[in-house]
Formats: sequence, C-alpha cells, structure tokens
Amino acid sequence: MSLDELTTANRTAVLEFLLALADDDFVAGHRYTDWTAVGPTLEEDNAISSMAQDELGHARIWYDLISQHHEGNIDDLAFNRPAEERRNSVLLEVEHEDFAYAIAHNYLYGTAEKRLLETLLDGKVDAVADRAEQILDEEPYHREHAESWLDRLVATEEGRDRLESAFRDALPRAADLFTFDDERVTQLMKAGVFTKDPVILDQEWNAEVCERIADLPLGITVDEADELLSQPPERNGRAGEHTDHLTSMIDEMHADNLAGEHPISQTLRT
Amino acid sequence: MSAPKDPATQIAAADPVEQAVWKALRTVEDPELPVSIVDLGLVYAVSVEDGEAVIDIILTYSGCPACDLIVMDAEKAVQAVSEVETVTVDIVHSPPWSFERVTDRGRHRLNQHGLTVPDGEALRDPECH
Repeated sequence: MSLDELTTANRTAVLEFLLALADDDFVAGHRYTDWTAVGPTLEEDNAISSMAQDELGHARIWYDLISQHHEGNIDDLAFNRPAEERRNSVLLEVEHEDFAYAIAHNYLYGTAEKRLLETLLDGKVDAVADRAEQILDEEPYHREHAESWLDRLVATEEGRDRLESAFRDALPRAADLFTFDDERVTQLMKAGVFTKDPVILDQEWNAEVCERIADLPLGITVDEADELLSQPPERNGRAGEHTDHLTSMIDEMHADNLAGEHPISQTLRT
Repeated sequence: MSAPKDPATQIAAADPVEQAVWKALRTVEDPELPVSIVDLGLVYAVSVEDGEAVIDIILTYSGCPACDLIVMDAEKAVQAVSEVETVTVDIVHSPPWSFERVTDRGRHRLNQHGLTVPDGEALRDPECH
C-alpha cells in the first residue's frame, strides 16, 4: 500500500509521526557533529562523526518521503522550519555539557528509536516499512557505541560522576520520546500503519533503560530512574514545545555562510 | 520485496534499449571507489518504455554523501542513450544492499584496490601491491 492510498486523516497522522522521527535524527545528528574534531580520542572523533552522518542520512530518508506530500523540499524541511514547527524530542536538542551527555543521549535515544521504528516495520505502507527496515539495519552500531562507552565511562570515578549527572539531567527530558497524541496512535494502529502499540513499547523501553542504568555503578536505583523518566515532560517536543537550545541550533544554521543561508535554501524561502 | 536478480541475469533478459541503458550505467562509478555502480550491485532495476527510462538505485548506506552525485552521473549517462528521452532515477530502500550484490568483476576491481569483499564465511585475500 502507498501513502496515497491512506485516508487523508491517516496520511496526515503518519506524516506527523515521521516528521518527529526525521527531526529526532536531524537534531541528534547535529549534536553529534559538535564533537567532530574535539572528540576525546581520534578514533572516537571518527566514530561520532560517522554517527552524525548516519543520523543526517536517516533524516534525509524521512524528509524525502514527507516532502512528497508536503510543501517544501528536503532542505526546506531540514533547515527552514522554526523551532515551534519541529517535533523532535527535547532530549536531543540540548547541548552536551560534556562527553557523558553524548553517551547518555545516544543510549536513551538509540534504544527508543529502535522501538519507534519497530512500530513501522511490518506496517501496511511499503514506503514507510522499507525505510524503517533500512534505518534499523544501520542503527545497531550506534547502540553498540553507547553500550561500550557506558562500560568505559564507569571505569573511573570521574567518569561515574559525569555519567550520573548526565543521566539525572537527561532522563526527565527523555520523557517526551514516546509522548505522541493517543488518538492518532490508535488511528494508525487501526489503519495497520503501526504494528506495535508505541504505548506498550514505551513501557518496555522504560523498564529496559531503568534496569540498565541501575546496573551501572552510578548510585541511581531502578525506582529513581523510573521516577525521573516517568514524570510528565516539562516540555513535549512532539507537540512543538522546545528549549532555547533548539532555537540557537537553528539560528546557527542560518548564520553567515552556513547551510540555511546557502543560496539554495534562500531560493526555497522566497 | 524479494531481492532483485544479479545484474548479469537482468542484462541477459533485457531488451536492446534496456541493455544500452545498463551499458551506460556501467560507466558510472561510485565517486568514492573506482568501481561501476552496476558491479557494486547498486542498480536494482532498469526499464525503458516509450523512451522513458526508470532506474532503481540503492545506496550502500543511507548516509552516503555521494547520493546526489551518483544520481546526477546516472542521469547524464543514461540520457546519452539515443533511444532514451527522459530519465528518472529513484533511490530505493528495500531490500537492503549487501556485499552479495557485488559482481565478480566488482570483486576483482575492489581486490585490485586492496579491498576484500566479504564472501560468506571465507574472506578472499586482496591483491596487495
């Protein structure tokens, strides 16, 4: 089935969901690029830059599909939307205070994204399911990266302190990762676009990450992690509620000679 | 979606105009490797109807920075086929590309450049110079 064969309401709902996935990838990719040339080791510099490239590639895949049913092309969707029109999780837009943030974010996002993509994997819309499959194929490396760094960071006291701070700060912001409009989720389940209920995947994800974090020698218990993660999000990025960090990121893209100010992007806006 | 047949089988089954398109695509190299996109197994399908050529291409991975270049080079090469009037290059996402898609000629070329293509459990030794 193609997106065109869906009812207008279902198509709007699925495009809105895909926009959230695209914006997640785009913003995550940009935050990873902040580490390019300043990574803790040369090998890590390569690894995180490569992950940035993957995330931007995944954003391109979704923006490309969305642009076929939306005003503006890929560049317009990526660069020329104000913060309030973005649907990425607030988790991903916040600047990384130190490298532990990059790892905490990568871990939380990587495990959540896997489950979000799994909702689409066996769905009826081929264009969506095929893309989800390709992205899922390319993501295991990101989770391996996060896992290996979690173990590496907790090997020293400084690493443990920084990682604990990063998780305490990141968990409440990760609360919006699955906070999609319930009505639309039900609608997409009925239409066969979602094959797994994101609400259930959220519960499974929550249990998985709380257990993993509690297993690390950080002084965060399962209950504490759960409490930090389970509060209603202060800002829900899925509803366009964002921090100043996102506005700064978009402003930076539009600074002199950068992507948003590129003649091509300018032509699109006029 | 089932995997596309290997290029040699597809070319053998193609009509003369489509064969000319495959031949044109064979001149298009991956900008990062001196190997034809046909031999890398990136061309999934070629069809020509009434002068309208439609090419399905997959990327080795989705973040491939060479995406736009490959599409432009493929369009330009196919446009040069005299029977072709319009060219559409579609980037497809399924089934995923894998090393199994690389043709023997592609493996040889990669070997010549010191790259080993994984081949099941056994790995071929690259030719070192």
